[in-house]
Amino acid sequence: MTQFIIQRIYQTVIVLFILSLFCFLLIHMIPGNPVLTILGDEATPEEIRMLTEELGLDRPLPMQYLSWLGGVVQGDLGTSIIYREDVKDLILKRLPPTVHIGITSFIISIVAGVPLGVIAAVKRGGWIDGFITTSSNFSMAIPNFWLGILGIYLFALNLGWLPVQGYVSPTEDFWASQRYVIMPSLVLGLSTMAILARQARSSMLEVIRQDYIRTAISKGIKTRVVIRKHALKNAIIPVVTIAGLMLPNIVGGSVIIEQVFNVNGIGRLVLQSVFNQDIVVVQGCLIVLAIAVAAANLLVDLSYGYFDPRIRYK
Amino acid sequence: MRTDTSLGKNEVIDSPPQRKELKRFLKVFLGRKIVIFFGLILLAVIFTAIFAEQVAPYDPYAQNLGNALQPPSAENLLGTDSLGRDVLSRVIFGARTSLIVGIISVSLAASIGVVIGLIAGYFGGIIDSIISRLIDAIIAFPAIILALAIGAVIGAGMWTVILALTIGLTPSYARVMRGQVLTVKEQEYIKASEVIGANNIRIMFKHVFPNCISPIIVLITLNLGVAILAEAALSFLGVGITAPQAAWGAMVSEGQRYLVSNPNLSFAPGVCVLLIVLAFNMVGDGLRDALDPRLRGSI
Repeated sequence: MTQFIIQRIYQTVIVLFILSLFCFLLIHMIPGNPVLTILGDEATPEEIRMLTEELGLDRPLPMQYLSWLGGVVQGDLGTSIIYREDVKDLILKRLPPTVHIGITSFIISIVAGVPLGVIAAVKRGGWIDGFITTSSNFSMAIPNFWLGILGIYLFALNLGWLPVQGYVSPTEDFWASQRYVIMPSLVLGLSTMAILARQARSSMLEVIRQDYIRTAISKGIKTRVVIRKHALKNAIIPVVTIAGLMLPNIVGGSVIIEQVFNVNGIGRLVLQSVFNQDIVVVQGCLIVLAIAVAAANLLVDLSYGYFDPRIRYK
Repeated sequence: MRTDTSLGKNEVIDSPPQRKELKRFLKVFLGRKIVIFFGLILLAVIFTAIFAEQVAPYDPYAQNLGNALQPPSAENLLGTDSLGRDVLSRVIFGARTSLIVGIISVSLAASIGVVIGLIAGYFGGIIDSIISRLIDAIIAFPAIILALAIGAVIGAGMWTVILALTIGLTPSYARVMRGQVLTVKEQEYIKASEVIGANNIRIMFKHVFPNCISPIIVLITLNLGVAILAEAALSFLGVGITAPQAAWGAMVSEGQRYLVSNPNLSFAPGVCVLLIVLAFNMVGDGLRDALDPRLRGSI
């Protein structure tokens, strides 16, 4: 297990290194002189000199990277070109809604998706299976921005059950917060839920066919117990893998969801900064999201040890 | 391991096992009504996209402010948008945009990914390690955010979307290809070619590649849906296809402003995205089952 953990951490560090290089080089990928692009044509030589110095563009490339990385490690992500505010503070301010909606949707997709897949597998061929399989096919194909708009139209504008847009923090008003968060989380988590249900169904079908399941059933153990105790334990492992792979999906989807539901999270911050060409903020958000996804992935990998004892004893 | 299931184009054409293989493929593929149904939908969409000028009732760019935001009627089956343009015509031209972006980015990703995967799998060692870590890094990063980053650097537009999608989709091909190569590499006929002195490139493209084709074909079909969905999302965000070009995502976004009075503006293009993505997914699933039953659920 220790070796497995060390190997995974090592791989995560390498992945983060590659992503940090990409984030860093972003500013150098701007065609022409990035400072001129950022400041526009009316910039005075003085302004150009100052921004060049601020961004450290006058130093050799490896030096720039090292000092940027050193800053990132210490939590210094630079200063926004447009807002003239510390990028770290900007991100910290925008992080809570994104984390709140992201985690809620991830939990919903697992808690609903896995049992749905298991039920479909157990009732294979029946109408329940047909319904679950068809719904998950649809859920994977529905554009989430469109589903969000559809939801707003139906549940907020027509039925008036939920607020139209926006976000309220749970510390501010717990119940109001739930009403704001439920729809964005469902819309964000739907495709992940469908993919997990599909994976749970197919790996469950695979496991049910095994000899030891037949043995357990012929020993007279109740089907429900066999499913829960014998089959699910083995079927869940590939589902955990897929759940880990879905994390980038949820982080990426949050940009879209925040735009649809008017939530001032980190996704919208990225989007606004892209339109403002506020490269320093884009870089900061990117590296924070990369670290978040990598860390979450690492956690999912480590949870294998819990789900699959074989890894623990290797 | 999967030699018996490939289309085997490098073998003698029309040999009996080949014909049997094709027959089995067609039987499974065309045996499912749902696959035929969605296959026909796809053909219809592709036809519409190619002949958009002939199919569309009006010019999708012709503005008529006096006739703006009209509900569906006999003249404008899906109504008109805020600039008085015919929504149906724009939806039809949107199909062309979606397919162009999807086809270009998926072809690029597949060609690059296949070559990278072949190289990684065939040579192994340090080359494989470097490529595999790069693949890990790209897969760990949300493709939409990658697209935004590229948008921040070179601005919004069709090529931003294509570039981002190509980068985002390439790893899946490289990964599948690498896995296939590792399996095929151990087969005896590859060893035999090495023994008779065939060079690496010849072995890779003549012997290894054809035997890895089935999962790649399936992946291409499924990824066309992924690419179209992503293009729609990016155009919705304003980083993708920009006005005035007709794109479904951008149309949904424009329509959002008139959701109360003209919900149709957002609904119609969204249904199109759903339908075409669903069709690619279903046909992809059908292809997978028909090409190799053992691949079921593996991609």
